[in-house]
Amino acid sequence: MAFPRRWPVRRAALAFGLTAVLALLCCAGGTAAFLMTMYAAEEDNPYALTLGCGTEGRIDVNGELPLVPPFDAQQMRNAAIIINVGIELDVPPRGWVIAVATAIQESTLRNLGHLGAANDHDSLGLFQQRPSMGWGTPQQVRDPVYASTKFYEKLLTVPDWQRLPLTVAAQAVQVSAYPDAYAEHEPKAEAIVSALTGGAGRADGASVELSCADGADIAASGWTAPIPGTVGSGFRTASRPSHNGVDIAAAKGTRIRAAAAGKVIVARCDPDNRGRLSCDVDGYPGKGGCGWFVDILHADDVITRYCHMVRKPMVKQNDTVRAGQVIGLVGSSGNSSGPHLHFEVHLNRDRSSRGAIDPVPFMRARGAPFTAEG
Amino acid sequence: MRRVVEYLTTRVLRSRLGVALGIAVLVLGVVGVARVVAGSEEGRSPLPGGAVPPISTTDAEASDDGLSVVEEPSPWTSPGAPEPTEVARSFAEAWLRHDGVTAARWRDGLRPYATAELLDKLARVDPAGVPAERITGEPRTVPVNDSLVEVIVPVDTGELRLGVQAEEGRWRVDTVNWQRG
Repeated sequence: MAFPRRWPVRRAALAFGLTAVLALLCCAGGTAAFLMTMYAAEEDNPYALTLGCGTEGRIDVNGELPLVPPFDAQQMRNAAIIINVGIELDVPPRGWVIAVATAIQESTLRNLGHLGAANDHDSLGLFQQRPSMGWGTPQQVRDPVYASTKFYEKLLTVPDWQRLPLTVAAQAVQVSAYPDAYAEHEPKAEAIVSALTGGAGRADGASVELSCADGADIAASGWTAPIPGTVGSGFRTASRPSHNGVDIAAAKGTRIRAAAAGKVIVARCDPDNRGRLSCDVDGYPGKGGCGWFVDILHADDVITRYCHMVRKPMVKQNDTVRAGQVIGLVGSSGNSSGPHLHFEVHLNRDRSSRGAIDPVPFMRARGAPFTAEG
Repeated sequence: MRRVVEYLTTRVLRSRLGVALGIAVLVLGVVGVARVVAGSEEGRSPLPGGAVPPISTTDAEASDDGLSVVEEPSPWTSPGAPEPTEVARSFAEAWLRHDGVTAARWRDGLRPYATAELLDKLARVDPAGVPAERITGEPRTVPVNDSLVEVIVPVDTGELRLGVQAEEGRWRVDTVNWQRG
């Protein structure tokens, strides 16, 4: 009659074992989950992410290359060849972005042969260079290394090419019938260059050293910080949910620079809450309005906005501006209690608050973060 | 002593209250351990570059120091002058007439519809490189402000996107962008 005596023991052991396993699963799992979410939160935190500004050396074009949609492996390989030729020729990274953007426009990064009736004249290859215009033999211009070399050689002869708007620099080389077409490929070209080089799009565009763009430097992406200084009041914070930009404190009269090349689409005095156009005097909290301000339209339908200038902006509607060009001076006009720049970034050419995004990660991704040294 | 232990194991711990207490102890223990391991939230320094307390130059009460008026763009044409869409279409037709013309003749065709800046940008262009033959649809006009519109002209190889700009209500094409369809 051992059974009646042994069962309770087994049951107790089983219960104990089960409880222990469940407790372990629940608690250890819970603890692990807790720690993992902490870790993930850190990973998701943009401030903890360190973005690179390029690694030195050529890209291995035969290795596996990262893909930047919508481009496929062959297109990425052609971009890598263009960048490698730039590295060989000691062209700083702004030149790589200009070259890749040009090739996207001319050939969508495909080494085009003769397209028959659809071909524009005798254009061939990544840059659609024309043998009849002295670019080389048909065989040569279809060689990606030769074509890229010819492109860079001509680019380097363009005065001040590093600081020209991308489309102006590209057109100076290509002399096409569509001089303003290259600009719209700048963001894609920057993304490709950064993906293939570990972030060279964020490097100082004019230096072969591949150092992160800093201060008034213009990154290879074509972007620069509008003023020196860090963000004091952020985008749509808990206490200011309708704050659609960032505030950067600066001394009155600090020069405000265009964050990238573009077209001034608005430059005026924003009326205050009572409809008055009184931007030449310092404003006050509750007055309403962004004072003297400028909106610039950039490639890819991005708009940047600069508010509270001390006096009438130095640019007017429909002016074309370069990255880093001074457009006005810091002030306190409109809804403001002291001199600062209120800076906004909008997407999809939408000037309303619906188009606004957080400028901090946007600018950091383009190698133009808000820093004290700015 | 033995009685106390016996009482605890047989009665208290088996009661619902006992089970609840046990679970509570476990949960508190896990949270506590996790807290210790992860470090306290308050103890951390603000993240570099992060948004920290609002600066004194702006008022938290006056929440939005942004734009008060977002005006709808309303392009204005001087009475009697052609509308921007019309100018863009005339320009596109002249731009497409590139077969067998000299560069000088091609630019002369564009001149009445183009700004001086655009003519400069096209100064050395060989019209043989114009990548399209004909207009294939109705132009679409997107206003940007009262003196700038974008006119998108469908062509056989894609789209011609023209930036048309007004000086005192007189429209001229200022930018030319062609994208493959």
